Amino acid sequence: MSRMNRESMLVVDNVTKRFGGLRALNKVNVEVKRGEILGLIGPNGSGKTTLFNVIMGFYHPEEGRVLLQGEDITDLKPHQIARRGVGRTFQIVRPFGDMTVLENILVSGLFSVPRGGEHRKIEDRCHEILKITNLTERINDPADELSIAEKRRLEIARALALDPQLLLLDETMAGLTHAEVDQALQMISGIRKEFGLTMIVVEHVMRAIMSISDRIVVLSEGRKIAEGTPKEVSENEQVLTAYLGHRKGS
Amino acid sequence: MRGIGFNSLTMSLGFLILIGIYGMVADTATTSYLHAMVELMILAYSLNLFTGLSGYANFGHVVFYGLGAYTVSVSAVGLSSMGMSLPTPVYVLGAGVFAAIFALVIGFPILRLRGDYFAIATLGINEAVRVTICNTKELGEGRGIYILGLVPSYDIKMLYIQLLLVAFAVVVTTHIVLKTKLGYGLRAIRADEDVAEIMGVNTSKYKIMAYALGAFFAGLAGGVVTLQFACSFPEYLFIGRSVDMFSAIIIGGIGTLLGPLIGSVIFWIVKDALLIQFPYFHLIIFGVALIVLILFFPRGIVGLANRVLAKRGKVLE
Ligand SMILES: Nc1ncnc2c1ncn2[C@@H]1O[C@H](COP(=O)(O)OP(=O)(O)OP(=O)(O)O)[C@@H](O)[C@H]1O
Ligand SMILES: [Mg+2]
Repeated sequence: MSRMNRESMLVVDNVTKRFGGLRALNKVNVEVKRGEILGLIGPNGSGKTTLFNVIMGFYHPEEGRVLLQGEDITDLKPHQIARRGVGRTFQIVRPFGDMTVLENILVSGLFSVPRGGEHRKIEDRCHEILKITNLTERINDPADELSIAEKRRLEIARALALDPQLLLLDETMAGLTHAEVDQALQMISGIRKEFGLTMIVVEHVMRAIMSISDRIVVLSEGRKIAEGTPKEVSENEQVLTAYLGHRKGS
Repeated sequence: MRGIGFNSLTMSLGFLILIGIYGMVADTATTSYLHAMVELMILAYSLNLFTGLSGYANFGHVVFYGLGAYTVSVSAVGLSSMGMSLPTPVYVLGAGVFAAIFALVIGFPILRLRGDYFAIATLGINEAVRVTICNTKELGEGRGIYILGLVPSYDIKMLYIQLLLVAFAVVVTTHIVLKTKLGYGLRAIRADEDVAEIMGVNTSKYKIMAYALGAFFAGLAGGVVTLQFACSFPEYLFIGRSVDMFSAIIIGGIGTLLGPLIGSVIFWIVKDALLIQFPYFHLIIFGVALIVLILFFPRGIVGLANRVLAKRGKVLE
């Protein structure tokens, strides 16, 4: 496989994150190659969001390191990591409610250092992102007034305005209708083509994660229990047990 | 942007010029009245720069005003003992700078606190400084420091002009902050500090910058007032003044350019009127009015105006 030779965008090296007695992450190793879409799945509470928080510098792990393009970012602050090109969305949407859609996106545009600078240029770029995320019509509306699907897209738009190299998407499709999931999938592959981004995608919608990922990592109770192509993972005994054990019926 | 914008900057500066001219031609009593109103306005703007934009409730903002006042009186006494005296603008600038430095020093630890904890810490600092002044012989204890004759004395009209210049400066500064990265960063912090970090905002740096900027202007106001009354008292650090500033920005519209101006004018006129008729009861009237405002018009008069204007496709800029 030629992918194996590509340089790695992100390396999560033997990371352990504890909350009191609970090991939310237990010696987790994950590598993401440049340009790859890595699917991250696991039952509720398996540590997916915690892994994002560790990567973003929101939590500092007790053990292990996080490397972004070879640089150790374990102890950096979130804004420093954001400016190194890591964008993320929140599982529970968190728009800046009293700002307009454009202002929401302008914030990350203004603060993304490398392409930062001229206000005019940033605004142009924001308009482009609004188009891709299909939010142009709501550009001057307060973010509070958006529908849930639109708020999810705003999360993505905001992360894109950072001009990231690595995008972490945390359940951006949860609660969407079948048709909306299809649109979201199209949008994500569009984004990948347009910006050549590397992504880690957390999703419970199996149909979505199977179709979009190059590779999938499975977490369960803070441990990595499987890794491989979507096909390999969906046939893995341990994965099936973990899912049947925790998420009956979904 | 949508529709035509009513330019808040032009309106604010225009209003300052108008009351400036009026204060020049009016009798001394009227000028004093306007002087006190502009002073409240500057304090409201300075609180707005930090609290209005970042959303961090600061009940001890008056400490910077008090420190500015004492900077002027202490340096005037100190310099005159060496037989020196400086032009008044230098004293005033020194007051702003000292207040800003103090903000940088205490901001570093207390801006790590969030929400109620921060608000309580600001109250504590204000009290600590006030009590320290009241118990320090060199600072005049409870009696204050008098500097009559130690600095060049001006009449009320000259001081009024100085104060208006400070008001001009704080309005223009607010305008610039709102239009630039600092303003966007602070508004992001107000909306959701964690998300602001994720979007690349160095939240610690922006909070402390705004805190010191607000302190600077409050310090300037304290400096001018000390020159006006030729003294500084511990009463300058009275918590009630923090409440006045808060009321003004809530009435006018928190975090906006026009809000502190509209809010201070209304607050000042109403307070003055009520104070005469109901010397004590007016506080209760104010309390109730504020609660009603916060509940029904959380964005104050400017927010209300924007809602009405939005229906006609216009907006206050
Ligand atoms: N800040 C925190 N303090 C204490 N415990 C936490 C904290 N954040 C997460 N946890 C715990 O860590 C474990 C992993 O949580 P996490 O949110 O990472 O799971 P997840 O895989 O994202 O789940 P879901 O699919 O429900 O989003 C859970 O048991 C959770 O309760
Ligand atoms: Mg999660």
